[in-house]
Amino acid sequence: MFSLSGVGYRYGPAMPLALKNLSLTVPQGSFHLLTGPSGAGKTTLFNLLTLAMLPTEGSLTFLGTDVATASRAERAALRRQIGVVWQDFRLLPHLTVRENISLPLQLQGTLGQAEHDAIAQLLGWVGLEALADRPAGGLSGGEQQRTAIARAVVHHPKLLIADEPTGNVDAAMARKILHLFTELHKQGTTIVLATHDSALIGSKQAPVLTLAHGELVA
Amino acid sequence: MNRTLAQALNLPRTRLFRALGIIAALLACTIALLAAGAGLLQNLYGNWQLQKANSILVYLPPETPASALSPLTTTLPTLAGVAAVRQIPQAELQQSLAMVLPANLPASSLPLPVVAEVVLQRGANRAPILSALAQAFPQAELDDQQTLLSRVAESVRVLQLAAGGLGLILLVVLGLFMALTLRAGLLAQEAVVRLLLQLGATDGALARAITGQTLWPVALGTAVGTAVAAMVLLASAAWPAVAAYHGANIWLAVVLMPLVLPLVAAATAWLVSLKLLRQA
Repeated sequence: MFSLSGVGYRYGPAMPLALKNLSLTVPQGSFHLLTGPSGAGKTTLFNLLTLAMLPTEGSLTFLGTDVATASRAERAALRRQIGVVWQDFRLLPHLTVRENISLPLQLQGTLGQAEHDAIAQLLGWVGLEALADRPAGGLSGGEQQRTAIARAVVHHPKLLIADEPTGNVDAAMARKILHLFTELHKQGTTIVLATHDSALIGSKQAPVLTLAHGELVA
Repeated sequence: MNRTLAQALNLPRTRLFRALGIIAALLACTIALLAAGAGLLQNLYGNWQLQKANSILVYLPPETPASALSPLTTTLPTLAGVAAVRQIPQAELQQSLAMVLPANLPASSLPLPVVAEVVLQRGANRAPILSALAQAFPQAELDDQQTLLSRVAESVRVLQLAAGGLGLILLVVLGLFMALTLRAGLLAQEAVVRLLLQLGATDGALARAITGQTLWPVALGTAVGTAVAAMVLLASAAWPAVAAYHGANIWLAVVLMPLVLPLVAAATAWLVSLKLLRQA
């Protein structure tokens, strides 16, 4: 799915390395947990894996393409293969819940009746059916998180990256979300889940990538 | 896809964006009126030129005997290219002079020259006619309007070029305003742009959506500005001195020239948004 070889990232020429000499291969269809204390480089790695940034050292290959040498159009096409759940949700507040969820499909140009049905099903699944036509800006934190999760999975991405996806929901919804991720994983989606939740790390039988001081320690 | 992207970007929320339509309306109106002005000038000049280009005035001393004027009725009308020859009556000359002379100086008190007008056919070869006139009236002063015409034509061309130049400056102003508006709009929506890029939007798709959102207020403003200019032109028809020079060419200029604005706006929006997106 993706591999990092000697990857480093520096936010500015005079800045220290936020990530140092990271080498890692994540095969297609795998499920990884990413953890580490604050300042360990999790956000930097998250941004590199979502192709929001390019490594300043080493190389990152995603779906067989070296992202540093790919054109902007190629990188856009690669990003359409990724579903992302940001910790701050990043919804468009003036669009409705349904419009937010349908954005990745609209960008792929694949929004037909089948996709509308799938969105309706997904809305029911995350318990937002009644709020589908409300602007996302007026939702609670938990509702926004569920909308963000639905948006990340609606286009069946090859890679799903989520940052603390159960941070703002109750235990029942957290179980439901993890169940959804497990189902997607069974269907072949590669999943990387960044979390501080030790219970989640303990319950999930998945390799754990631990970062400390910008280095992979486990 | 563009509709959703446009909804997501929601650029018209930016205050500067709302001014885009007003600026376009003002520029469209100004460009249309400039075009109409240049067209009216062209028609006015064309009309005047037709009258003036075809005549040569012959000034003879006041004491010229009537017998010396015989060529006016005998040889000159038979020359190739001459349509008519007439001696301008003294009363007509006095009337013309009365308009410029002070009231206490009657034109009838002045020794007026004998003036004849030789009207030429269109495209007539002037050289043999001028030579025949010089031969028939060696003491005459010949006033060939051609020299004046070339001078006036040059002035008209300068005025038209000035109108064109002003139009170009207005287009540059629109381009600059568009660039500033887009920069402000995209900066205000930077987070949205970043998110859309992150979700896989291409630069081209975003630039198309931005161009579309920019084009609407400009197109609307252009339509309003053109309509206002057309109404001004219509109203000017009530003034006979201007109405005489109205023509299809002027209406075409008024309608077509402002159409350049949306084209400039679209090109500017496309190029500027692509540049800004690549910096995002």
